Amino acid sequence: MAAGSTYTPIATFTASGSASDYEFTSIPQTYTDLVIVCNGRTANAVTEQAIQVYLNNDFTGLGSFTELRGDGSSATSSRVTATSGIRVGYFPGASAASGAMGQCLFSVMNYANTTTYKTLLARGGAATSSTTADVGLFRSTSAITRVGIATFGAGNYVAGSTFTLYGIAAA
Amino acid sequence: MPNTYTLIASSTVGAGGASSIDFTSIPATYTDLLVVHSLRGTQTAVYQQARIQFNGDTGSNYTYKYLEGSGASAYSGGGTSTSTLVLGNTCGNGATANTFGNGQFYIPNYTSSNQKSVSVETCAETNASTQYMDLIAGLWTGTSAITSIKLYPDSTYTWLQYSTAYLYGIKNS
Repeated sequence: MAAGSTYTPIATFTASGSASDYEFTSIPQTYTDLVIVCNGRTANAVTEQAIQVYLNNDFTGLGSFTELRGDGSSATSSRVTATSGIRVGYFPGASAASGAMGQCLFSVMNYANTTTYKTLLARGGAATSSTTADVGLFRSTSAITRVGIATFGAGNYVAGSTFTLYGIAAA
Repeated sequence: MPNTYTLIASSTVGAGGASSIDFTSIPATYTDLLVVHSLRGTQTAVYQQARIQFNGDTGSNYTYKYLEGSGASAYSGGGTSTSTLVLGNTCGNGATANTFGNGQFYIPNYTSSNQKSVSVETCAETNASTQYMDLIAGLWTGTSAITSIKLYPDSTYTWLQYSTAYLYGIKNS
């Protein structure tokens, strides 16, 4: 994937500390896949906080996901079906070690097609609490034009948290 | 279209082996860094643990959690306030001949004044009865921009010839 012309920044956002979600809108349909890189922390008084993705601003439960997780002592797997929020990892919360940052990296494959449901692959890392891998499904044949990234529950993203959307072109 | 995924540097270990692969003088002109590696160490075992340090920092400033599969079981462990960030298991010199363990790690916002998170995937498939793959969340508490990365095997082992590492820079604009 070293060919730079296929890994194109579409939009980026840096949190100011006043919001618990951010949404990329009007995503161009000119790429094959999307890659989203999130780096941050939340202000909620927990050690870690789930980060969830909402596609096309749809809240009708078309999502599902399966997670593989290691918390430093045990390896577990879990899944959620018929949900609107698809988990892509965790950020450290306000109860985590001071200043610790986390990240979620995820891809949305073949996002512009209008024939198939959409699959997400995600890697999450909040080193003070867990490492995760998630696979998600959005049971909609609509092209993805909006990607919302929200904390699960209360708590804003701390200032300086970043979210960047890249487009990957197959040709 | 902008060239946002750029090879900054690469390294291939020569015939004499190497105690580490070092990327130095990393420019601060990108947003994120990605290192892709293919490694085999001198340990007489199927596995060889790989590690990294940033900016020559050998203090107790690294934390990580790993999730590891051996082909038979899944484990999780980690370290807090360690002097190195463990990347998991790549191939040792007891592994099937000519096999190298592959992996990559991603560092967003490597020039920021925040602590640095790292996402790691490493594997060492060798067509043998036991091998390992690791998913790791890492943290370096340093708040300086990352200007160097040292990639090295644990203990006194060295990387064998043909081990490689590639450093890419990714820009968000």
